Amino acid sequence: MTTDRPVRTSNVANTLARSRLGTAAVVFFVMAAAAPLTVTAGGATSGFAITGSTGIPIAYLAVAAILAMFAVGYVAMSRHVVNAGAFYSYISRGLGKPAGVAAAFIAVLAYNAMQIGLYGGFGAVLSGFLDERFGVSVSWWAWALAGWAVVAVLGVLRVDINGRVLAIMLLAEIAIAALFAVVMVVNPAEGGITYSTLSPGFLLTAGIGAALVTAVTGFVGFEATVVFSEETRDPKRTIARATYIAVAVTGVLYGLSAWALTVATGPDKIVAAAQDHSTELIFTLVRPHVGQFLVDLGHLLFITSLFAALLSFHHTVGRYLFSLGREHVLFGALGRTSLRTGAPRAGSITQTVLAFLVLVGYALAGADPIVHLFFWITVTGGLGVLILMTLTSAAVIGFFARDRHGESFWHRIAAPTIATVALGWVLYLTIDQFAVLLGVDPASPLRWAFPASFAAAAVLGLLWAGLLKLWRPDIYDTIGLGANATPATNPFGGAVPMAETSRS
Amino acid sequence: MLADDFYWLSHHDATGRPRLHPRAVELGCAAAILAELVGSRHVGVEDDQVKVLDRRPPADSLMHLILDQLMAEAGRAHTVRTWLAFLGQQAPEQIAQRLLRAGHVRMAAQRKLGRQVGVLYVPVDINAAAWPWAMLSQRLRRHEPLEYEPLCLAGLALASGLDTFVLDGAPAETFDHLNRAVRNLWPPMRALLFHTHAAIGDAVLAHRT
Repeated sequence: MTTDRPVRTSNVANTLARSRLGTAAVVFFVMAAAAPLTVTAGGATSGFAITGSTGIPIAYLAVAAILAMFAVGYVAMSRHVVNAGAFYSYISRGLGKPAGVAAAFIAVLAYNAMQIGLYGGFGAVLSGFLDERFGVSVSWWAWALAGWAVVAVLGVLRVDINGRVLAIMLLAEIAIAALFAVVMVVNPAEGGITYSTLSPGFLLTAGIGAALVTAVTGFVGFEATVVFSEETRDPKRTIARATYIAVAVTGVLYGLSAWALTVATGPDKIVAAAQDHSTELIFTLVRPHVGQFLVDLGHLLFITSLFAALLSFHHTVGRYLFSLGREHVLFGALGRTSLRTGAPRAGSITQTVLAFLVLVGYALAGADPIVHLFFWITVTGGLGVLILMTLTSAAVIGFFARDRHGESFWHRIAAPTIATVALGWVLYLTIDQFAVLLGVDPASPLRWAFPASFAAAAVLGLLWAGLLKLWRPDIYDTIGLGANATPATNPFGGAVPMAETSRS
Repeated sequence: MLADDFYWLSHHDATGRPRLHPRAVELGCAAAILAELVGSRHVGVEDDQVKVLDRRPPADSLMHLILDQLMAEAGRAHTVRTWLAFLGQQAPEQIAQRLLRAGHVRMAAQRKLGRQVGVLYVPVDINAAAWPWAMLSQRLRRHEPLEYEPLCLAGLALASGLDTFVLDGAPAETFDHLNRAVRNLWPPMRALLFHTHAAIGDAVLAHRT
């Protein structure tokens, strides 16, 4: 490394720089959580089957473009908000503390939904695979609970899949997904290769809202790049670059892979085919051309990618609850960590218990794991994250309206405004067409039940913020400021002696 | 010495294995070293800065080395968090080496699955190793007022999360007592502990998955 400083280099800075992250590392961390094969084999096919929309491929590309726009302001704000990484801290800094607490409640619900929904996919795919290949016939919920038990233990021990293993798995997943896509395009249905499902015209048709939120769900996880901002070599550029790369690579991969599905079946038959084969569709289509070995490998990677996503979202929920507990927005006990492992123990156990209750409920109700758990619950999580991103995007404008922090007009106002409008539009379409998304009758009460859960969470959050303001103004004042704020409950805070108020 | 006491507190008295996760041990030990220098009035902590107040070399060789490092980069105005991260990379090893020189620990191979993966510093005298824990635990449970050094150690325990270990099973009032007691520390020490606590919390959040 060279330096152009005239004086001798800083030993401290150089030593610390060695352990910092580069762009590639950050991209790997966040893309592993997004688990590409989960989306291309599971999310896209379920999306076709349940929403009945053929516009899924263009929806992935459109959402990638919107999220790239969102990332401009989001990353710009991450440079000025210390200890960032949670949507709620951005929202409380930009739109006020009550909005921040409401966002925190929405986030807890949304990420839990993402995680718990994935158990449906994990259980169903694993049980289907073992049944087909080895004749082991065990119901999906037994496998889901087995996965749940492993995640519960790994969560409390804070065991992560080794970074290198994760990177190899990720590259293998991308390779398999790309290979399958190429195979499907090379072997189109009669009528040849058609590009109709990539036509932007779809974005104006009815029912596209369902396709768009399905696409948003596939991207959840990319927002984690900013968590690493303080650990990168060059926080100004690394995080921005990593975020754009993650969005671009996943967007292109998802869009092309979903398009390849429609080429292989023919655009007019994709919905029927997806309804027949569900998450098996992609494997069914490529099996005649690539042979059993690659199909088995694809299945295994599909299962491991679901598991990696489960574990990653479990840690996400645990950390979210930890940071809320640490700021005393929720019970302080959630801010406790396990001594030996540093796992956010209380948060992890809370998530585990919640997942168990939902899984048992689904098993008792005999609901379909792919439709009712995997798709319904993860897209509901996707809706929650969409709400959070819309609010965050508006928060970026609010944050920079008070102080420019030396950012350009494009970063402060133009890009966040475009992103807010676009995300708001997607959000409106989604809620408007939620019945299509669930595949239920438009008069069904379920159509409102899922979006209403977020409204309820937001109202609870606002009420809670009001109570905090009344009961614990010291905590209220520090909402969203992260660990660098000093509420009176922090025994090390108030290092200025005059502010001392002893309550002995 | 404060750093020695924190080392005893944060490692098992019989096996020498850490009681905390690696980042917390590193940051806690770094804070303990800085706390010794704060106690000897060699450095001060103001807001988020570490300031060298006294350039005369301390008697202890480890403190001498750390103070040299602090002085060498005094002009760069690194924050407390930066110093904690930097010193943390060496701090547990450095304190263990100091204990080794004084004959309080012996080295042993740390094995996992029969393979040597590192070195453990095993206490020679289990009573000496357990003493900081026993002293703090008893005196805090009795709500006794603490002198400066034990109070600093209690603060380090609280900042690194070891309070649940020291006060295992104690009623909530005892934890409140600890919180109130730590509030009485002088500002530089409290500022140091504040940043230590925050840094350990951030390590939980930014855990690389």
